[in-house]
Amino acid sequence: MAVEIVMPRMGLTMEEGTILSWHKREGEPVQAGEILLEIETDKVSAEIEAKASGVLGKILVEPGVSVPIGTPIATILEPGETQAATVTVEEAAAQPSQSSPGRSGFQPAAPGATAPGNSKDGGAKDTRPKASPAARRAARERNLELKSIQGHGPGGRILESDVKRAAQEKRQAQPRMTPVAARMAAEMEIDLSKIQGSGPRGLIQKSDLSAAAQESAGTAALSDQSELVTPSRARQIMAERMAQSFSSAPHFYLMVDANANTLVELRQALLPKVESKAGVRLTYTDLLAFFLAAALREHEMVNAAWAGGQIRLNRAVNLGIAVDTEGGLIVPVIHGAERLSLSEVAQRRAGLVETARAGKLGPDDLAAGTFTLSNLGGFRVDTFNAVLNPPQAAILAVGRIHEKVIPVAGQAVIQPIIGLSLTCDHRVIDGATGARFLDRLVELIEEPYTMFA
Amino acid sequence: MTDNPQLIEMYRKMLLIRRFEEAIFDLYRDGKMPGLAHLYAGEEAVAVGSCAALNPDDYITSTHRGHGHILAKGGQPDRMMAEVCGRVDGYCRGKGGEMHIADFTLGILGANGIVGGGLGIATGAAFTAKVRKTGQVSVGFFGEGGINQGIFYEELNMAAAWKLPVIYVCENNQYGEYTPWRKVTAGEDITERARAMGAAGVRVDGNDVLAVYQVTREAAERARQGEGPSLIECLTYRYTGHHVGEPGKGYRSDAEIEEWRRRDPIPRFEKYMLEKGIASGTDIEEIQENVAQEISEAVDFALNAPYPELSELTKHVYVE
Amino acid sequence: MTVETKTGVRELTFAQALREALHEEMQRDDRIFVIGEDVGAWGGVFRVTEGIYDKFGPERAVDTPISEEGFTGLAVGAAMTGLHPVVEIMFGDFITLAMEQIVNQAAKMRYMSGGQAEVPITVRATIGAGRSSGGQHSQSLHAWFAHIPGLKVVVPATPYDAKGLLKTALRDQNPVMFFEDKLMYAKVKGEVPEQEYTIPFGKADIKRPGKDVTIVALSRMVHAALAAAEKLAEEGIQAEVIDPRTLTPLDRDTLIQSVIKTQRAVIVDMGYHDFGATAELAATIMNGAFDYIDAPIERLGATQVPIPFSPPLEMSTIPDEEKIIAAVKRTLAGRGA
Repeated sequence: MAVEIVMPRMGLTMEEGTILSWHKREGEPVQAGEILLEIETDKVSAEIEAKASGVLGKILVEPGVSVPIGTPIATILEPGETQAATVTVEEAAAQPSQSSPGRSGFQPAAPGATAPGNSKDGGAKDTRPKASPAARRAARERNLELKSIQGHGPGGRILESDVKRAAQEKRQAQPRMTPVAARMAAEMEIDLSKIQGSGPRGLIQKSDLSAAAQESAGTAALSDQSELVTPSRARQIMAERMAQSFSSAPHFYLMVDANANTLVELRQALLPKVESKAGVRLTYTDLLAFFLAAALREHEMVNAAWAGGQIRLNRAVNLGIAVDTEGGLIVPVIHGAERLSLSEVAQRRAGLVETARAGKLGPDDLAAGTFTLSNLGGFRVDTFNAVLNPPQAAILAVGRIHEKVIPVAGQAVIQPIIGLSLTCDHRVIDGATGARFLDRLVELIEEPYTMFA
Repeated sequence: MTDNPQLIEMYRKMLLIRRFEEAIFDLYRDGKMPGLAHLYAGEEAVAVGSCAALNPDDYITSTHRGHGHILAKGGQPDRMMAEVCGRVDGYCRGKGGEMHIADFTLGILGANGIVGGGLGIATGAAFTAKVRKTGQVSVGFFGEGGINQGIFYEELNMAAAWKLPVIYVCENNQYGEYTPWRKVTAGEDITERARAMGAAGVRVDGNDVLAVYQVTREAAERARQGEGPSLIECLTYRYTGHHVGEPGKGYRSDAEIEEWRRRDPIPRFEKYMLEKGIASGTDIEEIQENVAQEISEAVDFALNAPYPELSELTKHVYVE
Repeated sequence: MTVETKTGVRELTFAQALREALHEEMQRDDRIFVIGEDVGAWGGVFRVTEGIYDKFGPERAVDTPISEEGFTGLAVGAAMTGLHPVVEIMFGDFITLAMEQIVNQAAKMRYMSGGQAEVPITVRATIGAGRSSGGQHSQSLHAWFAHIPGLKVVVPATPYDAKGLLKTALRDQNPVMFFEDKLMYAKVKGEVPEQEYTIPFGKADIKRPGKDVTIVALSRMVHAALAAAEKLAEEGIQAEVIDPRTLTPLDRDTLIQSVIKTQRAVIVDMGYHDFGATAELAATIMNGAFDYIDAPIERLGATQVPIPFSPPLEMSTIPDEEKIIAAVKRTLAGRGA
């Protein structure tokens, strides 16, 4: 009995996935539990195991193609079994269900994913749209799919007028604009969804486009000196989320240069201990994470999130550590950081970074973060302001430890300084709240023994 | 009567026809000509005798077994042979073929593939001659199979009623394809049919070229005098069957064929000419050589002539 | 008898127009003669050859026995030897008797002789049902002849067209089949100029311009189509009525261009529906205007039964104004939704 493989749902928010690669070829034997293929979704890549043993039948979706969850992507056949033609929805509905009881949840095939239904059994309907030659030409010219058009001719035939009406409706769903603006937008390929029309009733005018036009002109000039690259799925999602975060949450920044003298000494002293206990090299990130966890426990308002009109106060400190990988920025989470020892934090951090760099983070590694730490101290960056990692209400950006001349007890002294910037979502955190938190953090960094108090 | 050059010409023409048909037989058997061939061998005296009695501007229409008529009326062997071989230098540019050769300059209004198909045309030509008062006559050749086509009676009726200058020459070679004529033809004497409709009807030995000549002359005279049409029945025989390569001659007995061979018009006339001193043995040999040469050249011409180009296909459907 | 209308232009009947053409051409060209049953002394059963016998004599107005094959064959021979016969087939149904002479002889003679022969024969035959003449006297068989290479086929609808086209036929050196609807001889009148004119073959006539649907009609059906177009106009439907006038040669371009404009076509003819002239016209339009056609092409012809005698039955087989209107509405179905 053939077993259908569908695009699995890997996470709560996953709606579609991309096939990265098939680990088996058509006709190759497969053991249940063996890795059958790899997919990518949101920012995660995942290996999918075969759920049955047998022989891999026809691969329905090729690498690089994105399909919604539940879409059939392959079949595992019993040895010796031949692949039947895949059926259309109508055929499946017409036939009494002879396969596994779970068939009632049959999903319609994604376009291009299944072979055309055959009509041998007479139960299949011809689903090709009926349209006059004029209608077909009109649809071709307007790049409209016939199956999306309602036909009013005899027997539901699509007439030319139906196609024209559908095109008109499509046009009307698009933003209103002056003919000049329309031409400009088409010529310069401006994304109209980003443009706000300043004319009457939101009419988009030439002036509204000029900024976008300039940018477009600028990039147009670069076209033969530059290259257009399609970002990976992960980056696309990142881009959307960052833009969304930045525009929806009101960001404000609290900055301080903390004295890192003690921090440096502390790390030096703890290096061998952590090495022997956790088998990893202690980093400043680990120490900062440890102090953050402590501070956040005391300032729960900063360990929070704006939740559609309400504020979610998180009990655990799930600390996201921003990691730079080949595939881009990714933020694995140390869950329950407030309960971990420094060694444990270090260990976790090291493991997550390695997994992240290998591209093998799972959805659980990325889920449920409540606060993010972003450390660019490895570079010649003194301070920077980070963008909030939604839905988190705060993020700490850390620069490098560098020497500065500062007054100590009235004397000019050279001290190591570490630049900290706390970004806060003003919907959740106001200035004083954030300041109190930052103050405590700096206290921990400069006077770690206050932790015991 | 006829003078010697005319008689010698009759002999030459009969021989020409015979050799022409033999050459076609060879071409057919060697696979060098397309389609079928309907050979006239044995009937030469009919064509030659009757056409000798006509003027150059008189009309004839011929049949599917028409090479004899066309050669007798003056058709050129080389252009005929080329047409039989489907070449563009044939009389009809390869588009008519063996059964449809025509030379309008010689009054040959085409051989016809429909039995009796030339009778309407021949009668119409006579009509034109009458209204134009040209004194021309028109001869419609047909076989004894055609005597049972309705068209014959329709034409004969009008020709007789209107006194049209037309002569219907019926070549009774005893067989309509594979069926003996007596089996399917009513009445003892088909010339009766003409007389019944007020036209002259004459029967003649079709293998006696002079006899044929005589009766045709008389019929032509009648026609030119406005006395109307004649039917001339020529009794004759075809040696090579309905068409070349027909499956056997089982429908004809060897004895019958032998009998008619004895009456071959060509040796018969040869004998006559020698007896009457019209030609000597040497003359005859010379004629035979010339004819052989002419036919040989005609075959060469035909086989070396090109086939029509594809552009020929759509020409001559209409007068532009 | 001609009628002077107040505009000073003559109105002639269909038969009168044809007669005029014959007289004029016979005057011009002494090769022309008419031949057929009762065409001479009697002046023709439908009066089209009236006066020719008296004016031109019995040799140019030849009364024949009832021998359609015979006298058509004779006419072919006469045409091949320098005359121009005009054969009249009294009831077009009888043309079957002359098929051999028309199809195997006249049509092919020029081609088979490699261009030696010219066969300027004009065969006038009647078509059209509606007088309870029975199955063997009512047929419209013009489509058959458009199928045969070497023939030309003319189907005039109006006195103006009839005269102009017959004159062209009488000047054509090719075999021309000329079909006249017998019910139009006396009943259809139209303006015919006095000045000399001819109408070329292969040129369709847009009898009424329009933009919503193309109606292609032949012979008597042109009048039904025009009447239908009037009625449709009252409902705001502008029908374009096209008369091809000749089936061979056929003006395909005009038909195609029209349907490219209107996107819908109804084709009407009196021949039997199946495999009739409308089929070729529909295929022409389908091929030439494919991307513009917005509804299936409608074809109206005589019902596919032998033409019955009884009037209600016979009339039901003939396409008429109502049937044309219904067909037009079918092609427009759903368009304005």
